[in-house]
Amino acid sequence: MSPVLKNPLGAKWTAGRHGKAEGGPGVLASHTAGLTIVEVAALPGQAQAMRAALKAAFGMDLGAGSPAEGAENAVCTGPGQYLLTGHDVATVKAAVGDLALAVDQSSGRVRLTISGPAIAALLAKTCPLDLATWPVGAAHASHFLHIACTYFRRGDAEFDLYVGRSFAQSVGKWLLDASAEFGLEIA
Amino acid sequence: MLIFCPHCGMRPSEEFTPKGLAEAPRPALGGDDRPEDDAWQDYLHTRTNKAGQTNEYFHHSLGCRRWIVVHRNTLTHEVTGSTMASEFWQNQQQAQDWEAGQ
Amino acid sequence: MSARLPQPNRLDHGGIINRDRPVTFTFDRRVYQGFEGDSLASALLANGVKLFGRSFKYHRPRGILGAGPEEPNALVEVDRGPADRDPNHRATMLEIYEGLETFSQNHIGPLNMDLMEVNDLFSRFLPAGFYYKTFFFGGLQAWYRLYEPIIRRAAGLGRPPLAADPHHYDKIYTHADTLVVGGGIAGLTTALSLAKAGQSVVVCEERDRMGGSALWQGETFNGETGAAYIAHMCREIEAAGGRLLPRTTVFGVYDAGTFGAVERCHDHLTKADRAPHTARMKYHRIQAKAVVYATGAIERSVGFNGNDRPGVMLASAGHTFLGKYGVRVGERVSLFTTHDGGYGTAAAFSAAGAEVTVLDARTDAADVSIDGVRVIKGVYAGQAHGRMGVRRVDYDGASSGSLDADALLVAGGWNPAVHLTSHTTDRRQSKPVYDAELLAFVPPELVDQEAAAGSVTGAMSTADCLATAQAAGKKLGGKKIELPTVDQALPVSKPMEMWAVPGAGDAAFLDMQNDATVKDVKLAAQEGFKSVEHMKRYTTLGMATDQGKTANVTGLALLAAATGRDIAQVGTTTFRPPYTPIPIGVLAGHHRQRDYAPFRYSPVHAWAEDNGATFMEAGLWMRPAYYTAPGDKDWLDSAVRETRATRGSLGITDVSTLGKIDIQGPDAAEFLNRLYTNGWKTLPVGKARYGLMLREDGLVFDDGTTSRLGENHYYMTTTTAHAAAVMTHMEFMHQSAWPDLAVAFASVTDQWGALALAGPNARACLAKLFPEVDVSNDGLPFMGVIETQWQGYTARLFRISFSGELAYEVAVPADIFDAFWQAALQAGAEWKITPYGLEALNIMRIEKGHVTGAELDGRVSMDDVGLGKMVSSKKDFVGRAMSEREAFSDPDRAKMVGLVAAKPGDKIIGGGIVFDSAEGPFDYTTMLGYVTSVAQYSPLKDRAIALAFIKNAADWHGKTLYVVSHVHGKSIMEVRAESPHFYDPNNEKVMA
Ligand SMILES: [Zn+2]
Repeated sequence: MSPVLKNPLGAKWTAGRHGKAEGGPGVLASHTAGLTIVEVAALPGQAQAMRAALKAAFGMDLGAGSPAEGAENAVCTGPGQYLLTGHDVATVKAAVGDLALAVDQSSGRVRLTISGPAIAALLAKTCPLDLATWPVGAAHASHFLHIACTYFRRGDAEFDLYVGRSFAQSVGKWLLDASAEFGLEIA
Repeated sequence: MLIFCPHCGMRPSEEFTPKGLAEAPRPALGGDDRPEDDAWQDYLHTRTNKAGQTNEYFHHSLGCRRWIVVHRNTLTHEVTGSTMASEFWQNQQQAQDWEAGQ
Repeated sequence: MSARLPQPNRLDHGGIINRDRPVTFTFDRRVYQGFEGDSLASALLANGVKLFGRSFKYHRPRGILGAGPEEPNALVEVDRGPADRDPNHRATMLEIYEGLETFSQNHIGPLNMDLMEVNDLFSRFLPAGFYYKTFFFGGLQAWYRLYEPIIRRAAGLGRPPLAADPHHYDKIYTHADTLVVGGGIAGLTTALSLAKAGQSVVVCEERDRMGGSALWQGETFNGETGAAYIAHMCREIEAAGGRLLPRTTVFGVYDAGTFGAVERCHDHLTKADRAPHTARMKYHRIQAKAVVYATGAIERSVGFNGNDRPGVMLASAGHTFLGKYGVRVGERVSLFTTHDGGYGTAAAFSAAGAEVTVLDARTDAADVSIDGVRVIKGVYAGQAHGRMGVRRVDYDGASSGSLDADALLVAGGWNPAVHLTSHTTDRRQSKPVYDAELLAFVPPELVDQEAAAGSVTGAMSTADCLATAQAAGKKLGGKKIELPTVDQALPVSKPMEMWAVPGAGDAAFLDMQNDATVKDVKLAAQEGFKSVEHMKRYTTLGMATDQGKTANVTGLALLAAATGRDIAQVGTTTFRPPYTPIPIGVLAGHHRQRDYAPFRYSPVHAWAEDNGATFMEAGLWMRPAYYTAPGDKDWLDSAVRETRATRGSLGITDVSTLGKIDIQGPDAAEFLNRLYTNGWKTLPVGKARYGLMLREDGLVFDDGTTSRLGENHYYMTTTTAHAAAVMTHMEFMHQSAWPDLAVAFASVTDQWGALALAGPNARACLAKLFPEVDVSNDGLPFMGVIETQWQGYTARLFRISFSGELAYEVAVPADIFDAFWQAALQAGAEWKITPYGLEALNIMRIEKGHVTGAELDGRVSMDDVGLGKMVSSKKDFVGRAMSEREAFSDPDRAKMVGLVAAKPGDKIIGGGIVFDSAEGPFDYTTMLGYVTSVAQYSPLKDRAIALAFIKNAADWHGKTLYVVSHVHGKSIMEVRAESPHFYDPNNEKVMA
């Protein structure tokens, strides 16, 4: 029997409706438990070669490496630096070889997906960047109320948030606070 | 205040942590350096504290975590650009070599 | 709905208030009624209230001067209960709502009989600089005993709230192509021009609704009323994607197009009307590519005696109360003007049935005939009489006389609200400039990303304001829009220059809030304070909460006259944020109390909470300090029990918080070699090594162990305290100094949960957890590392010890760490496995003489902590050059030593100072060093022990010393010095 994964978001993060109860929820949130996340970081001068290796192995087209050129399963967090989802660390390491570091972050990062009609108003409270300038598919390493957070725009009103596991409980609590006025539905 | 990060673009200053002036590169590896050597003194202690155009280290700590050298006017606070720290000293050296070649 | 109460000064028509919605409120516990849309000022004036408060210095009775944010006098307290009151609301900006309770400020006893008014009677003794001069007499003692208590009693405006602010606030990041500051007709016109061109536009308006004076002044736009014209302009802006933010004050302009604004969301609503979970106020941090200053202009008064009497009011304020609220502030109105603008107000009052006399300072003013208005030319108001409200006005000049009056309106000219144009310097260094034609400061030449629209430019007529708005739109890339035809336009003209009337003296007020007078400015000039900045500080003119919005320009004009200079030469003081006062809570936003900063939690935090842990904060982390078991008397009891159980059998502790960094690449070993003082090239795969890092200045930075997991793969641990700093340091060195090193690294602190098993039964327990793995002394020797699996997940086994016992650290992915922790507890049950917290860990590491952050405080060298041998002389590393500084080899340097209390039960005070004599003197001349860490009870020594740094440390081993704490009543504690390695100095246990 495999061990039970521990919810990193704390006891207050419970499925159902939170905050404003009337009307439809302004914000929907879900946490993907058990997601395989691998962090890769190219060695100096090897970023382009690493992207080529990732493309060859997994078909990810990461362009020239700008944060706007990402994919849902390859979120750019810095120059030559990505969070890959869906492939385990051994597979990724085999693909990038000596071009890059590859480490398992499946437990180290928590991915929250948030969406809903009030998403822009919510993110205006947590993130200093202008959403209007992000194309779908773009990633931005920034902060969530001053907690390091990488945002990935999945769709018009749908975002993935990647935060450090030990911060997840604070992120969860603050997300509950910030979305209370809109009504939050946790899946 | 906004700071330009070569990777992330224009970002608010709250995402950055300043370190101080980038006025001299770390002395090359020697092994028998003395604390009183000029290169070490310049690297560690000598700061011109200029009123005007300066180069300063900033860490994009709530962002891509790159060290960058920000070109800022201390008289006006105007940020005119930035360079990755990993390229800054090489660029300086190239500029010097180019000057010397003239 | 409550019964309608009479409002004697309310006209039966006019204004943009909602007469269908009466609103009942109190002022100084008296019940009044106004209408929805009223400010507290307009509602009280409607009820005939003239007295609103007392002035700061002289406690003079004061009424209302202005009708907007500039108001200096009518500051009131809003009381929603003892934990929820705030002082210094401007009555002119406070919107009334049902049940609002307000109080006047700055008086002892009733408002109309203030005991502090005695200050006014002695006012000739309290000129500018009085405080500076007087309190030198009698020296410091007199200051403390006499003057300061009196001043403290009298100082300050209003009462602060007595408990933490119960409201919540939000910080909002707002973005726009263009920010328009001011939603008057000019700001809206520019906003419309920009929005139509496709720009994202945000308009911030300080008042409760968009439109400014156009809403009520009576001018018409293409035949429509102002209110109707504004309403459809607002609709058009919003239809084009613009955002309109009423009740939002832009309080500051910062570098690179950053603006601070506060939106007031709740203060105008009853509790029931406030949407649940919403913030009382929002702090908008606005990032905009361009800005339009459409901030309007503020009218100024003229210095004459008694110009602060209740009932003396700016003409624009009187006009606002009449036009916007339908409140007539007087029946017999004197109107003292220096320009044509006063006649518009005079006509409005006359039409409202008041008897109006215009005192026009100009002898050459054009003849104007308005029904029922008497005009006297070439005269000025010389003196206003009436302590609690104007009764009579003396005029002088070309003719003189005295008028019965219950209101005196003053039209002294306009000061464009240029404040925001001088807040920042990143794009433009120029300050507002003086326009000698207009007799006012106007914005300096603006840069490409800025424009000004409306009366802030100095434009006076509505048509001129609209033209500047069109021009502003054009400058910033807006679309040309059809400007309306303005009919029934109000008269305007440039003012005559008159800052103070002849004979204005110490009852002619400039800064009403700080009671600075015409005479004070002259005195300042006389005493040599000729710089406007010095005059400001000497007289305190402009230094009150209103920042002298109605006073500054007049003050510096008078300073110019008194020193024989031009106003342009004198210049203006620098305006700084905030434009108007803002509550500190709104700047903190969400980040207060428990939400001040995030907490970091270990994957077994919930388990620890359920099992009696008391936590302590370690940086952002919450770590168990000790676990309370049945029978434990106090924290020390718990910690000692945990220590004994660990040393005697088996302890378990959570070390997930240690910093962990994964390092990969062909140059990884070289990178470590340069970061650490010791050598790394010889470390074999499957081994760990203790390493010490220096800062570049040669002082000790951090320590930890690094393991070699593969050919080019290392795993570093750092202290919890320095984890982030070490990561940042590594990034800095790699990127700034050695960018070509083929290495990459990532923080994996959060990826791994880690526990330590310590004690004589640690190996047996580990063997139970990992039956497949050889964990014998040969299979896993001291400093050995094994990577294996636990239930299908990677597990890393490290034979390292911080406690001094035989010990192992085991790391597994954080997701399953809770499960692994439970498994370890189960496996260890037969040896009575005992969880221990930081307190027990502290006892054990002090017994062992291990250093932590308390010792590595940024002041110690390698030698100081006994690690001087950990230097490889064959290589360069960070801090190497500077570690050879002479001072580091000074024999007098304090080095680490162990201290043992003389007898059981004695305490050693952490941070205490160490001396070699119990006789004193206990000062820096005789001190040997200081205590860094204390274990209040060491089971090993059966008493308190400590680590300390003292001079000539080794020479004191075995000798008696004394620890003195100056902050604990100079207690003198006898201790004995010895080696800091109290426990198992030969490492027999950890190697066993
Ligand atoms: Zn960046």
